[in-house]
Amino acid sequence: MKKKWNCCFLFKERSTTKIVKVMKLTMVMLIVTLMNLSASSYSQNKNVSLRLKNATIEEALKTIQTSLGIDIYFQSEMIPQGSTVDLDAKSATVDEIMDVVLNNTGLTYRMIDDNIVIVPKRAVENVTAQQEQIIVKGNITDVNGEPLPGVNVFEKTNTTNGVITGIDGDYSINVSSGDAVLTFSFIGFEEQEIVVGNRTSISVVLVEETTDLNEVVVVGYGTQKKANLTGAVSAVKGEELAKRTVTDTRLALQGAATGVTVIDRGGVPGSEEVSIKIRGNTSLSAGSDPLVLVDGIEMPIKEVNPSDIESVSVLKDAASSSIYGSRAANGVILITTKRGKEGDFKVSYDGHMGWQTPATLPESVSAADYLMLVNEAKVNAGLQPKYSQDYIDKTVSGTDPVNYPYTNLFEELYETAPMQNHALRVSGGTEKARISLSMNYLDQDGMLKNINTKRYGLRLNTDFIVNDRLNIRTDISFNRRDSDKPSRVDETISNIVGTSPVFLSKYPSGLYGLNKDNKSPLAALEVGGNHETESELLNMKAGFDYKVLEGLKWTTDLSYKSLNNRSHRFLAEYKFYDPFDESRLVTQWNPSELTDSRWMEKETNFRSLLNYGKNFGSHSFKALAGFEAIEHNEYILEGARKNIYSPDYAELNTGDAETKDNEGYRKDWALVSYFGRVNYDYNQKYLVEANFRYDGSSRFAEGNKWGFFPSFSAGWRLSQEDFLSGTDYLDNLKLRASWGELGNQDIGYYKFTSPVFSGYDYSFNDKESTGYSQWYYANEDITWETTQILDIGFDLTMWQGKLGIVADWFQKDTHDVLMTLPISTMVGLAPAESNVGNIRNTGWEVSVTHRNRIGEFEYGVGFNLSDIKNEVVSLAGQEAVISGWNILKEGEAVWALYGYESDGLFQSQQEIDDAAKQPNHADLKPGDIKLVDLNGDEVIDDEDRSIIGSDIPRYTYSIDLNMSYKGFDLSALFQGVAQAENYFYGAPNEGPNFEIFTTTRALDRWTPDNPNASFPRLEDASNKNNYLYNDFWIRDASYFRMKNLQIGYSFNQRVLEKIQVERLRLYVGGTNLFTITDVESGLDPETYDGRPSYYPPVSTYIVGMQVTF
Amino acid sequence: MTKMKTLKIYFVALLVLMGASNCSDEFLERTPSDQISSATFFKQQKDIEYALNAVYDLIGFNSWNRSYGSGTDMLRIEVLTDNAVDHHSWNACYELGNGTANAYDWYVQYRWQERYRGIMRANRLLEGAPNVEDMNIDYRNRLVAEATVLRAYFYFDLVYLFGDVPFLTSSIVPDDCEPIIDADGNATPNPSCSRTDRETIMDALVADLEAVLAHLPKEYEQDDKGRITKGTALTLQARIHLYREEWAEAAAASKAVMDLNVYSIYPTYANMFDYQGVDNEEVIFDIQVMEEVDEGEFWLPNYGPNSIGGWSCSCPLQSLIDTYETTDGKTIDDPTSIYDPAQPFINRDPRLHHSILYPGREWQWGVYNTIPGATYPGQEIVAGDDLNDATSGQWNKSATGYNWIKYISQQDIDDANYWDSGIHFIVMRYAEVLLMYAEAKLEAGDIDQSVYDAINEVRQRGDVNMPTIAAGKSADQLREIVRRERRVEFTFEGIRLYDIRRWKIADQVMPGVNPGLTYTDPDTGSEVTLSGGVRNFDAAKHYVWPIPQAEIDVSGLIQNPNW
Repeated sequence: MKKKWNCCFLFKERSTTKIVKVMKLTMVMLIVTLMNLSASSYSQNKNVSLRLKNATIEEALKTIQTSLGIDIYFQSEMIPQGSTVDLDAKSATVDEIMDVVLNNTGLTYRMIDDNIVIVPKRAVENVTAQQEQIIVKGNITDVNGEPLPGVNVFEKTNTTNGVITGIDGDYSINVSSGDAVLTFSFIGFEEQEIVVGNRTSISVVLVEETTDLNEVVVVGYGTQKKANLTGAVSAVKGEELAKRTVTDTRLALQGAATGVTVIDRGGVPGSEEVSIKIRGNTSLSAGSDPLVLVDGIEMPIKEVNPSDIESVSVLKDAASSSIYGSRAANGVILITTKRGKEGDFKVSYDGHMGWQTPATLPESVSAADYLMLVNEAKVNAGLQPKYSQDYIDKTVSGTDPVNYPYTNLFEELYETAPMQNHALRVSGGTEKARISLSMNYLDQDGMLKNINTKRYGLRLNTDFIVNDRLNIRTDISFNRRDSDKPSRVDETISNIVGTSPVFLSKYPSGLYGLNKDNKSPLAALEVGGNHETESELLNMKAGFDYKVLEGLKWTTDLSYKSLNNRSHRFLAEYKFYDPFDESRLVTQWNPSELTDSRWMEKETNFRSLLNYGKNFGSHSFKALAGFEAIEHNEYILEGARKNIYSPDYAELNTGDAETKDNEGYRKDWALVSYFGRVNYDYNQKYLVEANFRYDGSSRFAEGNKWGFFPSFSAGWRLSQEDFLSGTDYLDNLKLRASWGELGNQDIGYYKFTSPVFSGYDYSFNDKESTGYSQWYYANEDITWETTQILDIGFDLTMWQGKLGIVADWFQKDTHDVLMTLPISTMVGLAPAESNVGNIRNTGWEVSVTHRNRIGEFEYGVGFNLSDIKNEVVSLAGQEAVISGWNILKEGEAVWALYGYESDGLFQSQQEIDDAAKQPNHADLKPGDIKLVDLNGDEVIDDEDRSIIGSDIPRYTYSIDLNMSYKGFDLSALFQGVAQAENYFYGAPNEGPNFEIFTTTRALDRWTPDNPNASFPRLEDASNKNNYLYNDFWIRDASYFRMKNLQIGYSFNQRVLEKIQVERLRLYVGGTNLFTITDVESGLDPETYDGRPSYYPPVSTYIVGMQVTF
Repeated sequence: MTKMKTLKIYFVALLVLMGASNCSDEFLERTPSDQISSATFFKQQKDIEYALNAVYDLIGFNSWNRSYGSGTDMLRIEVLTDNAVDHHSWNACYELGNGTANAYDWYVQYRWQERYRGIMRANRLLEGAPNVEDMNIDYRNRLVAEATVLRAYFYFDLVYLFGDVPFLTSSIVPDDCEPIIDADGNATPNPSCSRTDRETIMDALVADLEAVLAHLPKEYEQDDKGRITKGTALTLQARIHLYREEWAEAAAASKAVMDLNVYSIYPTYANMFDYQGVDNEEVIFDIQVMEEVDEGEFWLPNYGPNSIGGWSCSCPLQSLIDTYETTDGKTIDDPTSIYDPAQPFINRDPRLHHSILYPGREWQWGVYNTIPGATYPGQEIVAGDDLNDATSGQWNKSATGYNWIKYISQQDIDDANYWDSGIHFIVMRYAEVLLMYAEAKLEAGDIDQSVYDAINEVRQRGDVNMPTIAAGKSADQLREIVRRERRVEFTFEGIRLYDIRRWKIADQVMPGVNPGLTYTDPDTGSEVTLSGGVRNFDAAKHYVWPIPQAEIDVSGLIQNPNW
């Protein structure tokens, strides 16, 4: 057994708010065991001889421990630094030696069995010194009922009055009155406060604090100590997420864990586009989103209120996720919500108000530049300049905006928008019942007009401790989201870039300006009609834990989830008249139309688990067996009518009866599963685990319904080995390896059937006639995609937790990837997907954390880095699939960028004449893009295209900073990607050539005077070659972004007592505060490829308050 | 105590197992609730009706796999002729038009695919119909006849576009088209779906049409309007015979349509391609679309001029303009005609006015104009069509100085109805029957008064009223007259491609620069001739389209020569 000369710090000093906890719970447990086993095996009165010269107190204690062969526990902060001790003891007793060593240190010690525990002198002295009226006795245990010795018990208002528990967890303390509050604290456990009242016996169960190796991590259908994990699991605590000033759990996870790539593509509030991928993309057509389980039930992560989250576990490798079998191939995110804890009911409030502004917007050229560039483009095309000098002067002067307008629609239409978020929580409980009730409210406006989303949440988690064998729990959560947006908002968003800045959104007459395509971005926001959506998500769960035998626990849960969505999309009618000839109708929205739809989902989930755990000496054994069944139903109903009476009466009933249109159908799936897990460890040194799941899914045909998904993992804690036990810097070192198989059943509902669909209608004599036809040629053999993951990693903790490193390498092979192989079109049916492809994701992840405390200054730095390399291994012999500027090809990343290589710009006609013949070669002029003749045949054609990049970021990283000093705290998150490319197509490259929104990129266009231009020469409309897909337009989309900043101040206890508040913290924060990127002109590096028509990601600035009563 | 524990374990195990066994295989049996299994289809009358409607759904053609604007897309092939050109390099048919297309061309691919999709829908119906016994046999025969004619229509489209194609008269599965790999690894097309000689196919189509004629009615009641009639089958038969130069048979089939006494010339050419002309007495077969439903045609944006927000995706060529006679019935190159080069558009066959927008033609609140600097005293020029008029959207202005007005409806413009025009695309109309009759008779050497009557019936339409053709013409003269008549009568109706192929004149009329409008630049005084660019046409290659490469990749079909 490892010697523990200084590793244990038993006591938590109560005067400081937070102690650096380096205590290993496992050690405590070991000591407890040791104490039990070795009672009275050592004599306190044994005499020893010991010599020390100018030794520090710590060194002295170490020497005593070694020479006496006993364990001494202390908290290093307590030991005075700098003071030394000389000792020359011959045949002295332990008492005598300890007295000398601790002389003048303000410390004393207690013998607990054969161990010495160092404690502050006053606490012990006061026990004997004070004579009080009330004696309170009790017993302290952990959640497993094991007694906890050495727990600090003291009176809250009189911190000099304190005792510690004995070997059996018992304590006895005198208190002044029934009003006294007792505080129970023990390193590695959460502190508890209990009012004495008229009780004389108070027994307490202390809950382990989740920190470092003691931390218990939620894993599939259970928990596991971090120290004993053999799989790759990233755990994120709710309090860490709470420091991020976002209301969307998906965004809170950005940068929070390695291997998790979160991309924020902006989007209208309520329908933000945030993608989460765990360790890459494994599929082409099946779902590639991770499975998100909230307390075991699949939920839309978007609707999870971050403040309800106790912890998040991201299961990344097969070992940790194969217990979810056919739904786990894309990784699993387990979210655990907060539950009530024993103790006084506490009311806490956390709320903030804030403002949103676009994180980045494309930068427009000035009016003078725009008009000049358009003229240049016209002249270059052999046309007359469009704008006269007089026109330009008048526009630039801005004195007559009606006749000479110039508008930056991005700046005009995107406005600062308010948002607010409030969360209220009541939680607490008694020995017999614990409750947590939380409510939250989010109200967020859009940066475009008439957009708003509101989220209301309610969650009630209850636990009833019926007796020491039976616990019953019921959880109810309800979420409602109301969103409103203009029904034509997408038209606005795409027309902002598609409109010439020589444009007035609204004339003084109130008439809307129209762009070339007769669209008005502003009218689409103001008078285009409204799209309301409502969704209600209700989840009810009841379950119990029953201790069948010692070590055997039976858990059963039944849950019912219902999701109700309503969408009410009204397209208003509107007539657009010519602002300069008000009688002329230019265009109109006609007829008005209303589509009202309902979409209901319900899901029932039943599961039953048996958990068994037993220790045989050094052998520890755990087993889990479970059964789960899920049934999911969806009902879709939609109705539509036209010519709605008026926007004020927009209901189906007010539309033309003749135009009524409707559809409705159902969908369902079911899953039945058996699963199990076995863990074994020897001395917590050698760890092995095996998992399996046997899934039956309705999504496959008979014979293909069942799949078996096993996994195996092992860990070796080198730090427990004798050869490393002497090192004082190494806390933990564990090597891990795992392998397993996972499935992906998210392939659609009825892919194995060959149904005849309705919807191929034809109309005779202006009347609809129903048409039915088979559409695709079904593949009855369709089955799940199978992913195998090999993972090797290590966990390292050093210097009492000051440094932590977790690193993993993985290879994720997905077989049977669903692909649509072409069949002869003469079959007349669409081809079905078959399981033929093969995709590999290889990568590594490193997470480094450093935490320290210097005086009252505490800080922590975390750095996460992930590398993912994605490769299509096999397309079943199929040649590449090309779609636009993307290609799917063996040996390349999924949908890599594909096109011509460019070699700068032509500088002279001679150079053009000498160059390989491009399409439309005769139209080329100096300043056009020169394409590379890859195959050297002097002709630029399809054969010269090649892979020119990939928009899958190779490296994603984040830096997390936390610091606190006195009442102040600061947390900041920076996040970035490296080696990423983005193909900015369309509008940003077109600008003046097509007379649309023009970014500042166009200013650096080629002219004879600017031969080293970054933008080709301008030419009105007709230049075809520059827009052939080529790498001239690809940008390095690497970025480094300050995602989050929060600065808070917590008022100190003295102030708070006066206002009877337990905790009060004020904070300010922001998101997306700055970005460093090579992508120019304000284009967003996180956006999709292609045309930049998007609702940009937002920067928010908030002020908030947290109060606990 | 131990016994109690054992009992408890059994109890729990039992409960867990109960949960498990509860979920039998039945729990995992899930099938769609709104989709009928193909195994149980074709059991009742309505199955045939519904399946037939899905065949009708594919008369038109588009590349988006949905019934939307299918006539609009079908008409794109007009730019593969000397009638029109498209200058949008990103458009379907751009490369087919200028001769640079290859076997990867997506318009070719989709037209092939959609035609076979229609053929297979018809095949499945024809196979399934005999299983439905509980219905009126005459009615079933009629439905089968409709499907048979539609299948023949699809096959004829394929034959005239591609030449020899696989002739599949029953439904197939993917394996039927797997190439046969011999011992040396060479692949040959599977005999069950390799290319069939086009003459064999057309023989079979004619026989199929003949066989079902008896089951088809001459006319339908109102709510069946738009279905295949006897006239449709006969007109298709006439087209096939004409294509094969089986003149006597073509004349006979045309005559049979005339003798039905169902169809007559609609008096107003100006309204025939507008809402007023929908389902008129001349229409034999059209694509029925509904008004005010999101499945209409997009005539306006695709073919309309820039001044009303159109894209000018097909621009009329000068040689077409020149083909219109003057109102005295003479061609413009006839020195005795009243043609005035200074005012080229006046005193011309009214069909020019009803088909084409030319500079100076009345348009909206003023006149249409593409000539820079032109003036029209007393009339306002509608901005948007002249390349230099400083309106934006240059790439949507006509490349030739002309735009179509056929199918461009003032009502759609007034309603700003860009996407859901309810104007039916006319696939076959009676004027074609009359001109097929005339052509077949003259080519057969059987020129009689009925030939002149047929031609003149077309020329003498109420609002066209061109001088009659006097009797006594030679076969060559008549041939020229009929061909000219077909070109101007059916311009922008998708028929010209079929004509220049069967007359073998494509290699003369297509290559080189096909000019558009010529005008005098007011600034420089020099003559400017607009054009849609250079076109290639290789007679050894371009008379048929390539078999789509995607199809060859899968089924190993032999490619057409030189592609």
